Amino acid sequence: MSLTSLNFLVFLIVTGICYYILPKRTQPYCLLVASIAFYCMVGEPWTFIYLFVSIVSVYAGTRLMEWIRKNKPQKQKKLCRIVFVTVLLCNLGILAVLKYTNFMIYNLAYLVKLLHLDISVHTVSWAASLGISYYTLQIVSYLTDVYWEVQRPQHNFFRVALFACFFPQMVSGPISRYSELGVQLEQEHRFSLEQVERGACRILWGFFKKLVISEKLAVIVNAIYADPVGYHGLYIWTAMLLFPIQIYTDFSGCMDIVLGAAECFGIFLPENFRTPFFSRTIQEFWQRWHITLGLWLKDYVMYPILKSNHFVAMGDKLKKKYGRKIGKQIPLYIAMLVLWFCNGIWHGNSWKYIIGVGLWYWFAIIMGQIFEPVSKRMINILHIPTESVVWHIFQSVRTYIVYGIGALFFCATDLRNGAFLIKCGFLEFNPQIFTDGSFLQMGLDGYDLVMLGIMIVFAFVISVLGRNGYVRDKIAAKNPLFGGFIWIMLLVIVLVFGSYGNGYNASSFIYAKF
Amino acid sequence: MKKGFSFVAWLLACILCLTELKNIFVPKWTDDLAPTYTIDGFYAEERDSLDVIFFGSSQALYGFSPMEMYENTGIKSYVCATGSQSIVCTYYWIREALKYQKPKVIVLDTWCALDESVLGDGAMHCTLDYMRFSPNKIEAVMAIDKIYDFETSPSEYFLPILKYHDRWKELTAEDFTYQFQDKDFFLKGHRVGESIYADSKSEGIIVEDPENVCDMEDYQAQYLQKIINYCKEKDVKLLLTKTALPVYGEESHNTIQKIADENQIPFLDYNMHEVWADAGMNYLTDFADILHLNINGATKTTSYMGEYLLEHDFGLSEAVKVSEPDETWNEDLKRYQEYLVPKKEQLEENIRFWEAVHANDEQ
Amino acid sequence: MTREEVFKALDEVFEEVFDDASIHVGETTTAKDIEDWDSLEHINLVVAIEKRFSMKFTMGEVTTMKNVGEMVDIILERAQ
Repeated sequence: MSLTSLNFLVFLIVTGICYYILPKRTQPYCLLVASIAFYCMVGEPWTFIYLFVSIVSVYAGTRLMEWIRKNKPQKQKKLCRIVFVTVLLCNLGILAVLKYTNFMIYNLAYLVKLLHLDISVHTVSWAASLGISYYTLQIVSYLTDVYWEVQRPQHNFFRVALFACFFPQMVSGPISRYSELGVQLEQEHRFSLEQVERGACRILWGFFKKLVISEKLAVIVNAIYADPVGYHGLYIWTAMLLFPIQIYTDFSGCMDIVLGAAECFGIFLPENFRTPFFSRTIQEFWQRWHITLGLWLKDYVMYPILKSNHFVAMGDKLKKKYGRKIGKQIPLYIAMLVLWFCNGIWHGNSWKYIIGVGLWYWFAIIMGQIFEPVSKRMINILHIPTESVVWHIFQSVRTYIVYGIGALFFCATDLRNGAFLIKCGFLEFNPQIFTDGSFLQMGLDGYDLVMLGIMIVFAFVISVLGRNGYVRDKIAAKNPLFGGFIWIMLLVIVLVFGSYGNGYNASSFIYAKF
Repeated sequence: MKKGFSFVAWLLACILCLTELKNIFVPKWTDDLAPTYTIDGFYAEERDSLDVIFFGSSQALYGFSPMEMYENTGIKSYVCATGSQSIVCTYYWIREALKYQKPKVIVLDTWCALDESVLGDGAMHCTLDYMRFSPNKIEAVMAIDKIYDFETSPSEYFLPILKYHDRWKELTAEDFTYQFQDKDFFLKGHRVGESIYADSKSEGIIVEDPENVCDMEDYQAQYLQKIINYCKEKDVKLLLTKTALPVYGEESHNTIQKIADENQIPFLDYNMHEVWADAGMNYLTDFADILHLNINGATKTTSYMGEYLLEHDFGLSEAVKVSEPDETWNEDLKRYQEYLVPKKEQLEENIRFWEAVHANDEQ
Repeated sequence: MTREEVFKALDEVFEEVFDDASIHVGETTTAKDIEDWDSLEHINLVVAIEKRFSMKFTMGEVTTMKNVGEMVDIILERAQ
């Protein structure tokens, strides 16, 4: 069942009723049962074993570390490190094997071909557990926080389990920390109609973004990328520029549904987006896009690397030889390389992700830093007003395009296809496609395109209004009649203009004639 | 408390909104078989005013004219049928109809019990979308969902906006105004055919081997039996019938005849040679196409049915004697007669044209 | 070392890391108070402080220290 389905809404309502009717101390167990049920309905039930192994290993690891610290204080550093590394490798190992084996095999096959060796290489098809990329990071963060003594281990196994598989965030995140989510799950939550309404409103907004905007944009973008030779030249760049809106409304719409659903249970998950298209630099962009993943990589990958003795020593050596600036930048760039590599490969087991959602941005950020003195000088010479709205818009557009280029690889089938798409983009300069009705042949008609444009503008206006405070709170603060009317209108918009269902085909009603 | 009250009020506003969306977005099928007019017209009939209700598919729609029957015999009837109607829907429509009417007789055209042509879910929607929401409708939709293998989900019947929302591009003024129109339907469900199909050379059939039957789907047999049982339960006389068809086999007749005999209910099959001749069916003038009767055929079929109902023990003759002249029905009859004039002329012209084209065939 | 001495030494470290001679840090100074103190500079700062005071922050402390005052508490605990 997808998040934008009636089934999910029914599931939410049923779970919610149980949650608030049963005694408050059973709430975590109610959610745990619901999460397991959700898992079985959405994923392959037997793959739950992997999730179970992760939960058990982390629970055991954290309890063991606690025991060691209490009973073997002298050897605690060494012993805890052994426990931590073992459990960490176990969890990352499951993730690596299930998700990245084929990636290794593909690369091996490529090498074999390159070296003209006569070895046949076969891929595997192992089903991974649902949301493995998300829950692994989340549960590893708990393990690490306990290892770093930032988090006290939870003694109740079921609460740890619930933290790992809390159903709203199972499929698409956000990636939470135990200090944020785990603590909330331990508390008792009273029913509040206002709270549930807020959550429901957010879910509705998520449906709007996904069904009314993202699904419709996908028709155009997919049509173009599926046939880059037929749709070459400016088509490619159009798709490239439309895709960020598509994926933003898709992913952030999904987040609205997830966060709204959690809110209905009184649980507040962390935000994953903060109007990213207003970012001035690509660095700022990734602090406002998929925020929880960025924070996770920063805290658990980049910081440990930069703080490690090796890196500090390297930095010192470089500083002595090449000066303070180089001494600071080189270790940083190497750490960032690792971070962006991880970001890329986390998204999928293909070089297109490593480049398109990883190294491309590393490159863009490095270039930005290297050319910073040059661009600062240019700005001074040209007397550019850096605080003006126009400059902000220029920076945002620039950032949008940088993101768009990387996202093109995200859409491609693989790295080679990505390069091919770009090549097709340069085959011809064909501005006539915007006036000769070509965009009406892709699956959306004139009405659809106009309505899509209106809805995108509408969503943009709401983003602007929501820059400093949730719009739904602003609405709630006004007259309740006004608020009720607004939400009914939004519901009507989603029902009428949303892209869902099998569609209405007048010809199937010819049976009316017989 | 106040919060709860305003939430309930908001919920009611939502329901109102969804109802209005349904009224606007469900297509208005007002051409051809016009299920919209048929069904809304049926609900608009005065409660407990009908003596006979016809059920079935398009063959019933074309074959029986309630206005003709009223004019001939004073019997008030309605053809509560839709195109390609599944017998499962027919069962639930009978249940629905008996909530609003207490007819003495239900006449069921048995094409739906034997027809196996693949129905699209379009036909289902034409049949069910205008049925009022009730536990009966819920049962009907769930039954359809279980028996048939369409892509449609039950939710699209209960929340029609889910199915028809793409129609926003083609909405017309009628979509908004239809809900306020007067739903009285003077044709009482009947469809008037003015085409001619005269190739069959049929004179009805004579049964040679009564054991020669055809297969029925399990669910068809099951639901036919359910209809029979339900009519018994509600103390309504059930008359099985089959309108005249240009092409017909004895297997179809025998299959239904067996069931009728087992349940001791009458089966009036117009395709039997004696009935065919008695009713005066003529393959040269009476068929609109290979499945349906035209005006001439409908007139003969209805006239024969009227006499049949009065002569046999259906409890109608007394009711007809007693009933007073009905103003609305008389007015509808006038409208019907005016409506028929150009249609009859068109049929005459079509017949003349056909004869002209085929004049050379004889030679 | 006394608390004031630690703060004085920290001023020097901050000045070097952020290339700004006018920085003075206090008990409640946080990243919001210094313009370039973002997540990347944070780790550089931590490393520089570790070097200056010959001590190590734990990874947990790196991400949970709320202000300079807390930093000073830890430094005083561990500095040699």
